[in-house]
Amino acid sequence: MIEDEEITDEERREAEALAHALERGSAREDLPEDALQTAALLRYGRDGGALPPDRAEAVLGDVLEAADRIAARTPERRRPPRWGWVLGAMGLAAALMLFVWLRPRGPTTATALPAPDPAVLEARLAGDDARFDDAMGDYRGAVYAALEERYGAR
Amino acid sequence: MNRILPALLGLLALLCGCEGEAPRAWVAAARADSAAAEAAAAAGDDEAALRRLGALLAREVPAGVAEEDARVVRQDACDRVARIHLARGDAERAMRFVRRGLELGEGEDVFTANLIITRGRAHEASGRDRDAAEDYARAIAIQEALLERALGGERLGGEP
Repeated sequence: MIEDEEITDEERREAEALAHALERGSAREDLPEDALQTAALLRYGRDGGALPPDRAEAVLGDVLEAADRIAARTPERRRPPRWGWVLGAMGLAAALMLFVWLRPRGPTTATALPAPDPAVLEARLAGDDARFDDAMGDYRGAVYAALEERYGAR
Repeated sequence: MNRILPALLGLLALLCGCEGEAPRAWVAAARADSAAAEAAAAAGDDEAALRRLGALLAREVPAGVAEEDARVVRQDACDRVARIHLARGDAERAMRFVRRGLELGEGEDVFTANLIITRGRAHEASGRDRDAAEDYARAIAIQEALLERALGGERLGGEP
């Protein structure tokens, strides 16, 4: 007989593991190989290895609980976040804007303006403001018409 | 992505459309201001004419408008403002607008010639007859060049 005070922590853990194996019919990691074999022989000798219904329920409960823990620990498959599309679209839009604004353009040439009526400057030089205003008004209208035609304002 | 792609294509089309819209809008607005100023001046409302011409000059010229086209439009407005101030006896203010117009560049056309004549009038009003005579001589030279071109059937160059 071994005295209680002589039992080491390791022996106590092994004894607990053995008791657990006998009770549940399953072994913990800390159960040594020889203890596992002993437990298996004892259980087999007691009931032929059959698990009583109440123990089976308890074991099933443990298994389901363990399965839940494992499922909870498993990281969900990472999906690209929805805002990733938005950022991508914004980047693409910015690139398009830069393309449109910064693309090389040729020099803008002047519009071919109509030739002025010689009366315009004649009247102006002569100081005939009324005649100048009439002639200049007509010419100005022709110039704006040419500009509108060029830039498509009509 | 099925919704994003058409949206992006639409945005691109919009950007291309906007690019041509600014010059078009600028010309239309300038013409409206010019016509309103002309009507106001004809009605004797110089203040209204100055307001519309001021609005025309304050409006930024968008990219896509040829520099020469912007020059003629703005020089015409500067000359009209200068003439109003000169008619009111304010030769100095008139001269400021003449300078502002000529800073845009000088062409051999009616718009530059008008500004030079107005400057001559301002010199004359200020007693600087010699400077005025020089300006009138320059304006006459431009007029002769324009007459020669008109007789030759030429247009004033550039894109139709």
